[in-house]
Amino acid sequence: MTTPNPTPARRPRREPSEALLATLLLLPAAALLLGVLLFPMLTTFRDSLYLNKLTEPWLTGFVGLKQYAQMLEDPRFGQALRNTLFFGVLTVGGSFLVGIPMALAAHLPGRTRGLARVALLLPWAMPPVITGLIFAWLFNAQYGVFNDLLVRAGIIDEPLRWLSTPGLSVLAMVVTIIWKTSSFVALIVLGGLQGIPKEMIEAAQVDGATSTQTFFRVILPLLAPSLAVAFIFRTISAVQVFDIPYTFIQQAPAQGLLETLGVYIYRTGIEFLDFGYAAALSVALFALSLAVTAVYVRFVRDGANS
Amino acid sequence: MRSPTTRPSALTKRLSVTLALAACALAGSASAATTLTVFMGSQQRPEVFQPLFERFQKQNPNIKIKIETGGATSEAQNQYLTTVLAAKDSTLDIFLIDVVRTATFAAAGWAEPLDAYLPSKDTYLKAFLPGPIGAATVSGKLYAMPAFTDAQFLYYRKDLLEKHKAKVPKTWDELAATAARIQKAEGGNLQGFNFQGAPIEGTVCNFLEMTWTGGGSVDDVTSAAAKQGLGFLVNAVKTKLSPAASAEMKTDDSRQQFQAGNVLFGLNWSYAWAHFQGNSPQPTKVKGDVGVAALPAFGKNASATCTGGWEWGVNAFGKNKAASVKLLQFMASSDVQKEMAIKGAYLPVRKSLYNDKAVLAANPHFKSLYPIVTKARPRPVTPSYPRVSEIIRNNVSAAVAGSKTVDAALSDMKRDLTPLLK
Repeated sequence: MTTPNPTPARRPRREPSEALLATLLLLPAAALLLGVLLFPMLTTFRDSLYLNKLTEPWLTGFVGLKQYAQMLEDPRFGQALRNTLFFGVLTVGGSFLVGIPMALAAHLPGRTRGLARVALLLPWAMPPVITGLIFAWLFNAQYGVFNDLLVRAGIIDEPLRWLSTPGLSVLAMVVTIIWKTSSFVALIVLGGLQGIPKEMIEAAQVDGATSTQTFFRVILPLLAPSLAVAFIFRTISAVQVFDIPYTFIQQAPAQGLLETLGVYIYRTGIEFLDFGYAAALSVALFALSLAVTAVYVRFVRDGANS
Repeated sequence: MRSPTTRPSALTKRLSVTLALAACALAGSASAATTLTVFMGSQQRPEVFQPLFERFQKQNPNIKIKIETGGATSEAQNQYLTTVLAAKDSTLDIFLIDVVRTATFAAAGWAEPLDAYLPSKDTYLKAFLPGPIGAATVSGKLYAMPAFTDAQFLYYRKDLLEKHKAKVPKTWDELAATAARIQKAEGGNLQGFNFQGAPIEGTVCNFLEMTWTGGGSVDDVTSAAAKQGLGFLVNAVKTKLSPAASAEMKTDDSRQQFQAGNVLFGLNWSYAWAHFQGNSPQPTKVKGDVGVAALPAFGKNASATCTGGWEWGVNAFGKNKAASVKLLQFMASSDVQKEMAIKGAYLPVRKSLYNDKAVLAANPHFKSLYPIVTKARPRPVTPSYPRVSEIIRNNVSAAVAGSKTVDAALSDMKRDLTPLLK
């Protein structure tokens, strides 16, 4: 939400020395960004054009785009890409379904507001690897809390083997990622909710709108910019998802269904020591993230113009 | 600035190691002191090695040793070492690695071959167990010095076998029959047979052991022996000898369930023994009731087991290789191996220590372990071991879970292993 600002008082024109100072002050940050972002990006791209497989160190040299061609014929890459998109759709959608009600609970005055605000921050603050390990325990077939609750509630008779049954392991991972990422959506949406002037909601109520109508006709449209921002950031992080799948594949045999592109890159580079191919895979993931970011940039630009 | 001689905190360790090395470099030959940086995982019990290193420093006043720890799991350690060594970093001199990593480290050119530093290598190595030396050797060259060895054993409940007048099984069929009988008589949640079926390294070993003890090998995983071996594990779950969730069983789950008194026969590494005897964070219900035996075999085939354990490698990019090898020989010496066995219950890599009075006084079960560790076989020694392991463990785990048939799991395994093991 943008609120009209009063026009700032005219400032005197900047002195040239001030511009110089600004440039100088920005230089360290710029150098840092170039060093830790641009430089590795360029070296990764260079590496993707060379063979660098440490388990067969005699294979070296420039191969051009050969490793990109290899990717197209690599069924594991195709599977990892499909898995990434599959988990992306489910977990981005899921995090909105859970995140918006969470944001409302944390926003609307009521007894649960304090609790909801704590609940909202906790998953967000927890490191994803820890989240993955905790949920793997919760889903454990023998001692897991989820099985215990389901058996006690009489929903199932025998404990389910969540991690070693292919379909269930996918479900378990989706639930874990949604739990972890919903609070991000909720935080952004909460920010949006707090920017909606109370008067508009009161006006809707005076006009006789039910609370459902108020939500869908007034609140949701006003939330659109926040939702779009949350959606784009969630999509970028979903494309790059690594930590939770990485902890899950160490516990579940149906790895073909759980391996995302991020995990495949890690395994190719760090475990199989094929740095050249891992670099090519990373460039592919980068291209995918870039495509999502391009949508975001366009959205921000259009938003600024409108 | 910290003085390089004080014990640095974890946060400043890297920094002070660098400073120490820089200081050494600056001092040059004037001080003649060498600092060796030894990397090991934090779960590798650096506190056991620290006093031994201190003794070495006393004997060699020109050499200082710094321990650098990192990574709580084998994977995390490997990730760290991979990052450091792929960058050809010379700051580490020695690293402690899992035996399965030898061939990878050798092929990548990260581990220095030790042959040139050991003039009478063959005589020197005669006193060692063949398994750990085999695991440290690639194409006839020794790439690491065994630090301590390990193997998988059959742990059994002496009290339950006695109560039901059963013998320790020599064949897998006997094991299945005994387990079924006692399980039925005892009732409750007693597991007849516990093994690792999660997609982890222990599962690779379980599969290899089942195949080896049927006369098969990893070179032909669709052989009758391999089918029989994997079939036995899958069947154990189907007939409820083993828990339904065996495909999620990890090494330490196995250990804890045996320790809680829920298991009759279990496969596990040597570390489990100390836990069973009460040296453990969890209470033990099986103290004094645990026996250790060689793994059973199919029919008249010989027993076999997997070689585990860790070994010291010398960084090929390191600056102090001669001093590093000196430390390695010290760590593999009879005295040090003896002390590690007595104080840390590490399985020695030297044959004679399995007959040593002091060692046996501290670990009476070592005597019965000796014939087993001498028969321990290495997992495939290949630079592509990480992929080999992944292929085996995922397929075995899927078969144990019931999401793949034995035949499908083995033919998938063969398809993926063939290009790697040719």
